[in-house]
Amino acid sequence: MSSLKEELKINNQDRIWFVKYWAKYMRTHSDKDWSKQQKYFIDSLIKR
Amino acid sequence: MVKIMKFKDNEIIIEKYLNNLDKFVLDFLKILEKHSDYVIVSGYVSILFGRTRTTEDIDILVPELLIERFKELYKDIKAKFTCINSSNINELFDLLNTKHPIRFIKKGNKDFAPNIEFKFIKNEISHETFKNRIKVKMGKNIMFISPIELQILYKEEILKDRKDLEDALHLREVFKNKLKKEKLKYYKSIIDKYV
Repeated sequence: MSSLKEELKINNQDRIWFVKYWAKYMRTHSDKDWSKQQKYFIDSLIKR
Repeated sequence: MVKIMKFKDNEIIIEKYLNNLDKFVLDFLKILEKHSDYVIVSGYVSILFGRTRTTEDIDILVPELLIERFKELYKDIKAKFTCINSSNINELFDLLNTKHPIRFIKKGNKDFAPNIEFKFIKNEISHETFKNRIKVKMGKNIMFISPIELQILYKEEILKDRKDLEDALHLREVFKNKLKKEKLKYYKSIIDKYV
């Protein structure tokens, strides 16, 4: 059980790391750059 | 460093590629703005500014409308969207007036997501959000959203779900050095009344 807790803690830390990593990427790249990646992701899930 | 979106006091300009969720929202706003002002809140605000997730609903708050005005709006909306709560206009108006949202999906669409969650403004935080809404320009397209500072605090202090905390963190990071301390303090004082 304690190893599962540890894994969940690591997973949570990793999610926070990714949110910060992506936001930093956005801050240092053009809107066109990051939005192209976001569009690819969202359009694969939502069709018009 | 390459520039990111331009951020003024009450206006943000983004030169983003519009995704299908952005287009869905803009299609609805094109109809809504002919009849009423509005403000977009919650998850879509984070997604608009780059969060890598999608959402099942887009929350739009509208000042209370009189029944006649709501009927005109509904007539225009139903040409392109379907309300999944009811097709009876009086029932829909009653729902809105009793603090319930009503939901719209694209006409002819079999999927229930994404949908527009449409609500009347009925509480102090929503009033504050609407009063201080900010304009977002994306090429020729314009939409009005919640102040970023208020959005962050609402997610951190009231919603508190993991998804919401991550949305708040995303906004804090994207708008690093651009958030106004005095605005954070002011909105915190309003939110504190409800937590």
